Amino acid sequence: MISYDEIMEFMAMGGYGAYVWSSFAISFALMIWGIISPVRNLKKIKKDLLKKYQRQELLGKT
Amino acid sequence: MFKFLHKFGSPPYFYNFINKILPYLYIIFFGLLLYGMYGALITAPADYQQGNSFRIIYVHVPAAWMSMFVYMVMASCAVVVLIWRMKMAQIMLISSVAVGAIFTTIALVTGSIWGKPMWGAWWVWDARLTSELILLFLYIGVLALYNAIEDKKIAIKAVSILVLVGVVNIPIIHYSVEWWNTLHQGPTVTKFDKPSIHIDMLIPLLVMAVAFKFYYIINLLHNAKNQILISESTTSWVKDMVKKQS
Repeated sequence: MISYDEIMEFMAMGGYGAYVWSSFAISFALMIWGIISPVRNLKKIKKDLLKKYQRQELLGKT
Repeated sequence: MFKFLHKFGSPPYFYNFINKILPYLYIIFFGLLLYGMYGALITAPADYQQGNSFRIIYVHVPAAWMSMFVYMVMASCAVVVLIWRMKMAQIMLISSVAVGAIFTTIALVTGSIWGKPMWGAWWVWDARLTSELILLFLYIGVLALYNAIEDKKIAIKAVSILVLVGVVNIPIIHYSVEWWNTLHQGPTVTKFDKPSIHIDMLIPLLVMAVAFKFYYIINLLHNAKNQILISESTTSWVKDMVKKQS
């Protein structure tokens, strides 16, 4: 079993814990945002296009 | 071969292909990432000079490599755009900008966090750091220029020329640590003789580099989907798909 002390020692990274963990956290946060942003954008683009097509159809009918 | 290329040049085919391939890319990416992170945090021994702080290398260096790699991909696309005006090259170029900026930001921010305990400063106007910062401005500039010009046919040409002019910065970044006396350490992996890094440290680094490559492809494809929809918005396949999905 891994003891509490061992986990704390691992997290401390020999005194550099704050630097190491913040680096990894910022990197992964940016990478996740990099995916979420275009996925959200895709939904918005589809919504806008649908509205545009519906408007065009209405104009075409009258 | 030409039939294959022709198929990939066709937007509807490419759009469906992206949707099919993305789940596999995610699986490979997370697999490599988990393996790389395990190696980076657990199996790699602490550095004899820098202690555990050197573990920042496992995000810093892959991100820095990718920041230059993405730019070179964009430059290749820019050549194709200017000579052959291929639509797919335009989409690839624009879809790469955001992820390139992300990699550059990661390299700069993690480098800064690493610099504080090792050099005693968050930032120094060192050749390597300054040229990498210019790369970030280039990415932002490309995005701003593309969005500023209303006519996208003109915008993509202007952007291509800007990207090609900016290529001059890439060798400057790469060789900055050799040309000038910099605070930034010299290359440890891409030296022509044997890399001066222990194998247990090197393998997770290379795994992380490959994982970041997969992240680039995933991010690129997500952005490419959006670009395809926008540029093909008047075609019937986009109309049918949008209507069907709502």
